[in-house]
Amino acid sequence: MFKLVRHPPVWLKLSGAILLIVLAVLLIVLSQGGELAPETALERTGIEKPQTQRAPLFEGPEWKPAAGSDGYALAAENASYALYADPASSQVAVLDKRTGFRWTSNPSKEQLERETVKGGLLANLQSPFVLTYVRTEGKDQTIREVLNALDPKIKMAMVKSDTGLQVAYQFPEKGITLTIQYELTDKGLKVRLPGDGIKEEGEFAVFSVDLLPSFGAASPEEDGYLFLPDGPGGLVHFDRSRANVSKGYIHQVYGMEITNAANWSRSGERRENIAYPVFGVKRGEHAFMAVLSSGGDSANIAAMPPGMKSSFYNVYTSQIFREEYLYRTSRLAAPLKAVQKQRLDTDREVEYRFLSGKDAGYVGMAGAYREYLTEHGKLAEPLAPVEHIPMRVKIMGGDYAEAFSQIRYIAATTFDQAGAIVEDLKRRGVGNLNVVYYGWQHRGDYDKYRRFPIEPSLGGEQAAREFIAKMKQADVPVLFEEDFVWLDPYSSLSGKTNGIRGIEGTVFVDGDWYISKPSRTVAMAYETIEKLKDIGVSGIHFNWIGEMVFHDYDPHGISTRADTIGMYKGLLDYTRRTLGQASVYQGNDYTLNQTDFITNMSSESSYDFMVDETVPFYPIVLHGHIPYSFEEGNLRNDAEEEFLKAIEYGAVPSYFLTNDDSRKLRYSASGYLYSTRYDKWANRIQAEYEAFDSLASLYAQQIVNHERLSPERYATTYEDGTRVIVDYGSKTFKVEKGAGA
Amino acid sequence: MKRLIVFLLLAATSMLVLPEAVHAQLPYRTFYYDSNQTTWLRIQAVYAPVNTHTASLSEPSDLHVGADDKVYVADKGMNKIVVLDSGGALLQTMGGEEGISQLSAPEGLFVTPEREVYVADSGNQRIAVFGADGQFLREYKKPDSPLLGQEHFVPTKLVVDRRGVMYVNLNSSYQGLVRINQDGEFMGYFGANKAKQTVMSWLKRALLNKEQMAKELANLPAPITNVALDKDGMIFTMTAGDFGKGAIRKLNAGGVDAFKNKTLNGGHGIVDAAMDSNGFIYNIDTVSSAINVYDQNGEALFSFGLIDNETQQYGVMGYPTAIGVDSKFNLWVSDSRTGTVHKFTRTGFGSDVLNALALYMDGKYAESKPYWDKVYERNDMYNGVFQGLGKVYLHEESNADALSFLKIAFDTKSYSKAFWQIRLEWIQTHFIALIAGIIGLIVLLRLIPVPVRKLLKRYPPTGRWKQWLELPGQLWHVMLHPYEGFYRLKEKRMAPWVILSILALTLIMKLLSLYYTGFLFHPVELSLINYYGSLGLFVLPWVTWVIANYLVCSVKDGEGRFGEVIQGSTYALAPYLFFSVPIMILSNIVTLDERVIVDALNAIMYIWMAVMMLVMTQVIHNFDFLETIKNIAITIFTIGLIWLFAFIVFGLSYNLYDFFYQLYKEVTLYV
Repeated sequence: MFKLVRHPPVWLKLSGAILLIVLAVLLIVLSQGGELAPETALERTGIEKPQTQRAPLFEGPEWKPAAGSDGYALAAENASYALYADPASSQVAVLDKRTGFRWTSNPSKEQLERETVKGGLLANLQSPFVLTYVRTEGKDQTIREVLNALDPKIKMAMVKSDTGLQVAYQFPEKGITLTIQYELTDKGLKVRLPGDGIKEEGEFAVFSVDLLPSFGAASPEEDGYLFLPDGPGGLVHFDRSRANVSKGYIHQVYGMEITNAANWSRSGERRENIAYPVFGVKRGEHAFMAVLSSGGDSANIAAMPPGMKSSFYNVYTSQIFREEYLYRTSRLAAPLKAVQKQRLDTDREVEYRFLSGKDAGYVGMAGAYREYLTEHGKLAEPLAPVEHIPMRVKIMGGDYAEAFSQIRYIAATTFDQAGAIVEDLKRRGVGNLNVVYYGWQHRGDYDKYRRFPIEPSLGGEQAAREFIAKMKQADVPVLFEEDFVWLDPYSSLSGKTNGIRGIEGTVFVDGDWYISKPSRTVAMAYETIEKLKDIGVSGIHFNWIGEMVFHDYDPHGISTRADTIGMYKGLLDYTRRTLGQASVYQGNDYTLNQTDFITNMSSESSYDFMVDETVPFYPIVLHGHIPYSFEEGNLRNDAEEEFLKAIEYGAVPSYFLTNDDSRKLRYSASGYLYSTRYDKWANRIQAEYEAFDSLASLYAQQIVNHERLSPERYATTYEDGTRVIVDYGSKTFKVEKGAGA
Repeated sequence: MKRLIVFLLLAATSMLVLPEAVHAQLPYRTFYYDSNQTTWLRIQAVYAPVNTHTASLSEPSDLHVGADDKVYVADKGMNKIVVLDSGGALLQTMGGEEGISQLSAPEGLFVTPEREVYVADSGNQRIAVFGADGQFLREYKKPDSPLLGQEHFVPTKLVVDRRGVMYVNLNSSYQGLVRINQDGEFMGYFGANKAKQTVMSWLKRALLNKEQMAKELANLPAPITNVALDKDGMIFTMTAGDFGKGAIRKLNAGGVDAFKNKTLNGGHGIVDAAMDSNGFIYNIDTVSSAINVYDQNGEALFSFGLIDNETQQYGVMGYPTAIGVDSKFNLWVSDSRTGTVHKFTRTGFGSDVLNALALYMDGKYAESKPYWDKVYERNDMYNGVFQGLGKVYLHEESNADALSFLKIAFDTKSYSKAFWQIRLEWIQTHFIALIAGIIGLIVLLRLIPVPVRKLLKRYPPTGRWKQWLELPGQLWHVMLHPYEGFYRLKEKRMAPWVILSILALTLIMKLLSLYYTGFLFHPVELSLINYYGSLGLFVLPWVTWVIANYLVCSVKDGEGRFGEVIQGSTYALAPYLFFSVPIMILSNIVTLDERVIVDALNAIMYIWMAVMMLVMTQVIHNFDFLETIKNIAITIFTIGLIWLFAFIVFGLSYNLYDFFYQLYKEVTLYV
């Protein structure tokens, strides 16, 4: 026997080796196993893979009308509007039959006589579009050049449909074809760039298209303003002089594309991302509101003051078809610039709605946008009236930090303590509240893929169950906060298969963190919801879902921002169906029919040189449909001012609380919780809640007017005529009951 | 630079921190300087930008806020002085279209309390003076003085003191500010920077002859960048470069620097600075890309704002040229890149914290309390509030509160005072108990050995037990009689477990002292102690000593074997074992006033250990004294060599490791 062991025969060695290999493979398989396949999750949650719908091109004989005395020919007409087109230049005009006002795609000849710009800029000013293209062959493929409708070699072909007009522009030398469709609606005009209408047959590629860049362009002498989707809403008045605006306003809807390293070259920039793809112009008694009804996620909203590209104020969409990005040839060499090969091949559509009289203003624009959302089922149903205003209480359970040379979870509020805080708030007269509990995951944010078991130092699953049951009795919904988007480097999940990729094909990484593919997000959320449902949680407060979208340039198939949005909407819907509630941060427009609450909605501008005034456009759209809160009451920079802003903009109160000193968390990622200890804030919260609660009767109503009475006094009017007047000078507000109240 | 490094470090640790959410924010972040940890940490905004929509400027090059809170801007592009009201709207312009009142590329200005505007009219090589109404009054050309020599008179910045003496900074002049009186007479140079002395320049001067020296680049002092005047008439000169050393100098009339050429945190790229009525200093620094706030002594407090070439936002400066502060503590920054003026106003929080600090600095602790309370309400992570409130409590003699707050703030000096009080009170109230306790302890110490000895006599320990019990006595003996002790040890080789247990005990002592040394002697955040590192730094020298000692002494004909060296070096640690407990206990009892006791004990302990090592070497290797000294010197040199070698090997292998790690990551993430 001994001999055998000392000198094992070949068969034993071999079988031993095989056994070892099998064991190793088994181990690898087992350790990889636990993940739910994204496809299965999509199936179980009922989220369908996004389908793209294409607008058809108009078919028919070419329309060659004779121009009228003003150069225009009638192309389409309905009860309210008439669409005219100039057969020679392809400029269009919309006549508002009710008021007789004409909106034109370009400045008139008289207006142009005073224009000072020349050459290409002057030609752009007379074109319904400005197309930027790049080369796909040859040396430098990042040089951008411009085409417009005044190109001498251009071939134009117009086709009429029942409700509109289609113009195809062909540039034979460049091999590029672009098609624009106009369609009259009851409320205004739809302008479309059908994806099928773009052809690239030469060695040139479409980079971007400015669609109707001069539509409604206004001179500085006129009375009015541009409306921009900056923060809650921004106005650019025509009659102001301002600092050296060297770039104008040009920002991508929902923020810059995070996967594109070229966007990171100016890492310092911090601003409020565009949450709703809307812009507008007010000229005297007339105005329009334009919404990017399709393909908005791949568009910039641009506005130019006079002196930039012309002597007019104009605002338009710049549709992105390709991105410029940086790629590395080696680890040492500086990255090179390149332009994306494949076109972002989606339909782009902008819907203009015309307003006049008292609706010609940002309040009217907000109304028109709300109407648009309601018509398309994109906005939540009206809220039911409440007796008390709901208060959102965010409770930080704790977070992890490196302490005593190891990873430690630092508990700041256990489930029991959270229960005590809510009870005390109730005792203090907070009649309606909902709770979001943070940091419940195993070790908090450490290894973000591993969420269960619920952190034992908070009391674990048992305490969580008891807490939620107690809250249910008191009629307080409890939501758990979770981020299913960012994954940390300690996650056991493979970044290679689960992280989104940039244009250059590599996984996008930010300081070793990566972003989960939307389908993986759904899978993780599905697994989490399964478990939380059992515990009795009323819903999930999603981090990053409501505020960030991105492309995923997976070599096996690109998914666009629109696909990401589709998945996220599906996830919100599934959460609400399964648990009851879902809520998000910031509240980008695609969440509006799937969220029960928006927290940390932006209430401030980005401090742009160009934006003169901040107005509550988005709050006007949302009030009465979705409750929203601004910065938490105890984390404000300016306690009084921001409190008054919340009152003026109709927000509900929100606080971020812990039981212990938040100082405990200062070496953790939650170091931004400067002061959250509940007993420090209890009195202040009680007082603020009483103030907020005086507006409880307005909770379910829409805002019908908002005006500036003086530089320090603002009035917000609700459906029943109640006016809330906020005075920033005396730091007070008062409620004037309306006739209907 | 230091700041930059800190930011790099922050970036390196950003792995821990989730990418920040993008809601409700200013266009920049605010940090406070934590001097205990020498890092910048986040805090809510103390200053917020204001949309001013100022009159359009062309190339604002300097800015000064007058006593009437009007903002005077020198516009180099328009050749005008532009006066703005406190909202940023245009009030008037100065400088004519032609003739003597016409300005040419003015780069600096100063407004006297009488509202006379002195303009550094650089293009015209003069100083032009305008009245409050914008009327041209007079001009000063280059003073007629042989001392000024060939220097071109291109004034860029200036201030005017109460007597009307102008302090003029000339374009890239290294001789300092030119003083000119109201009659236009030259009154000498003022406040020149000192030339930087480096080893290289010293060597050159020592070695090169006159002709060779003449060919060398002259070692000139750095030219002054900017100049400012505070409410007390002190003149501040700003100098960029040299990592913030002497970035702001606070000069009295005699040219003496009250800041003693101190290094300003965030001063390497200083552009300008302004002082408010409380003495706080605000600078713009292009290297940290921020506005930094300092107290009266130039200690960093806060940092906010951002510099970005392509800015389109208020609060983010393109190319800041000057900073000013008005009577309501609003900050004004001229920005020549965007042709605008940025205005920053204090937030509610900023106003509270800066008011609290101002009163606190003045020693008005009681008055500062309500402000500190407000700050504490809104931020319990900011260390300043604990220091401030701690001092207030100390002043109010609520010593227990003071103690806990000052401990959080790591303010050992004040903590010591509070502790002294508390200790006094404790002794006064517990005096009898204390005396009784001490007597009891002495009696106990006397009494306990008696029955123990009896027990030992009755049941004499055998084998290991005996050795165990003998160990403390043995160590004690070696410590007191090292020569004899080491001789005995040499003859009798101890069992490995004895050596190991002594070493383990030493490590435990070290660990205990890390966590239980009194706060005053070890003011660190206990949870952040890296005990692997601390123990490593403790063990490593000992291990290298053993190796080096053996290697050196065996070459030098020492008798000792490796085992003996280990054994001896272990027993030489005896003082550490006996001293560290009393030191630990004492460090928890004494205050800083009596720290000499603990320090002396510490010093004695280490000297004793060094002597033990020396004796050990001599005895084990059988050297004479001189030989021992010589060999120990060589041993220490060898230790250095070993470390250098280890460092190089580690560095190289780390590179190799990093290469494979990066490769691994590339494979897992990018492919």
